[in-house]
Amino acid sequence: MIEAVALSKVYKDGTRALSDVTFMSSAKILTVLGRNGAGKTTLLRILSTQLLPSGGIARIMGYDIIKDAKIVRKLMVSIPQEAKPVGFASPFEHVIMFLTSRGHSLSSAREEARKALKEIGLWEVKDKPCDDLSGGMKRKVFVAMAMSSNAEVIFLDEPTTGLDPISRLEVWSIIRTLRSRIVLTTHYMEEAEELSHEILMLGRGRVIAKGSKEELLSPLKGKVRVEGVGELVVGKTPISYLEDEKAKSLVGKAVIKPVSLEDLFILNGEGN
Amino acid sequence: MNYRFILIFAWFYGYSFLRRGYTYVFTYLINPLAILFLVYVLSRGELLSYAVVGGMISVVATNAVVSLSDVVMLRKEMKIQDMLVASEVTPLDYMLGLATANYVFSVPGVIAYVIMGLLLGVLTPASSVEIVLVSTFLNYVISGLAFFIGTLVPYTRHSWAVSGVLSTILTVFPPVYYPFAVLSPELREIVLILPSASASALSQWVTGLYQFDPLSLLALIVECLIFFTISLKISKWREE
Repeated sequence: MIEAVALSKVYKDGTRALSDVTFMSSAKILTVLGRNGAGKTTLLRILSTQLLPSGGIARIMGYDIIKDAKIVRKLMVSIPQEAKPVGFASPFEHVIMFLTSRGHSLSSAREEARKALKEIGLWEVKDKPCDDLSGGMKRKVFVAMAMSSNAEVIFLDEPTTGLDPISRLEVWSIIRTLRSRIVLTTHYMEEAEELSHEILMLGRGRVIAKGSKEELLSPLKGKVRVEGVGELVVGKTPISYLEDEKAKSLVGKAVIKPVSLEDLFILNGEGN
Repeated sequence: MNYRFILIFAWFYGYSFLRRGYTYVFTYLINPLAILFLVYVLSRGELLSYAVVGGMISVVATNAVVSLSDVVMLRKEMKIQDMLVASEVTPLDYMLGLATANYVFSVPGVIAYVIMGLLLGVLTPASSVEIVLVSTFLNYVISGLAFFIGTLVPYTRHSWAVSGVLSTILTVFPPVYYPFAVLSPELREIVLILPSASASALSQWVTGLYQFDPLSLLALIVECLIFFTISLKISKWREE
């Protein structure tokens, strides 16, 4: 269970990154979805005990992230956005180092590293310096670190940013097989739709909506997105949401698309 | 304290770098060797012993100072520090892990200087052990200072400049390559503020080039305590 009550964060330079963020989730995969600068990374860094909030409280599996930080750190693993492996160290060395940081003995670390690297498909390159690996493989090194930890909760901050489509699909399939509870951030709508059991939508540091994909899209049930007609404007494109039947009369005059999570952002004024 | 993590981190960050990037050993040895050559030529061999002892101090001090760039890189670029913050590792474990990794990286240089010292008759087997102990201590003191500065430096590029300046301040100006006795008694005390100078005074003493100055040992211990304490108290671990 992950819980936040009135969580806020104002950085020293006055930037307000989070305002009154309140939610509770026990989903297997919770995705924090938002545009760049929406507060996703700040929220994840607070929940994973890397950053202190300015106000509010948060709990991971019932433990307070400030008062019980030591316990929380035993329960979870956090893979930061754009984490890069140390170039001259190998995937095997990374996983071993990470597991000993979590209290594993050397023999247990070696065993878990072996299992994780085999499972994730990095065994063949386990002794290669990470500098010699592809971008996708480098990212997988971090996923292997998280996977091998067997932590209760794994925080993944934008795990597929910068990956090619195939590497992204590979990382998605690995995420689905993880036994731990996952909290991931992304600004890719399709990633959220593919992976999430629950979605927390953030906009300008506030919670816009929370629920499963179906719950979130229920206000738009039976409607389609019409581009070229309407009062909502994204860039220079006018947009409207019309009943299926009404939209049919616009075929050939406008672009008609099925609704997706993207449309919730547009309806909440995040498209401007 | 998580000794296992400290040793594994030293293996991860020190030994693996050494194994796959051994050419860097020549990079960090070249400057002290160039100074040794200059000292030899200019003093007609008279001050060669000082340059050998100073070279070892310089190698260890420079590698420890440069680790401030590692601190910044691991925090800002690679985000490894963020991962460790969100683990059971304490700032002290991390500092000691990095400091030990630095020393592992410096070991080939230290061995080279010990061999050179023995061949030139500057060191005896006993004084070799003593000077290695002094250099180990110096590594931890300067690594403490580097960790503190490294956690305050906001950009990796800045860290290169800071480590360059600090390295020169620590290894060129104080009596590392030249006799401590050249300085006036007052200046000798003032210069002990620099850990490399304290370590140099001790190294010159164990090799019979300078008298024992208890103040230099005291200074090194106090500096170690100060740098580690301020690093742990003020450094940014869990950010605000």
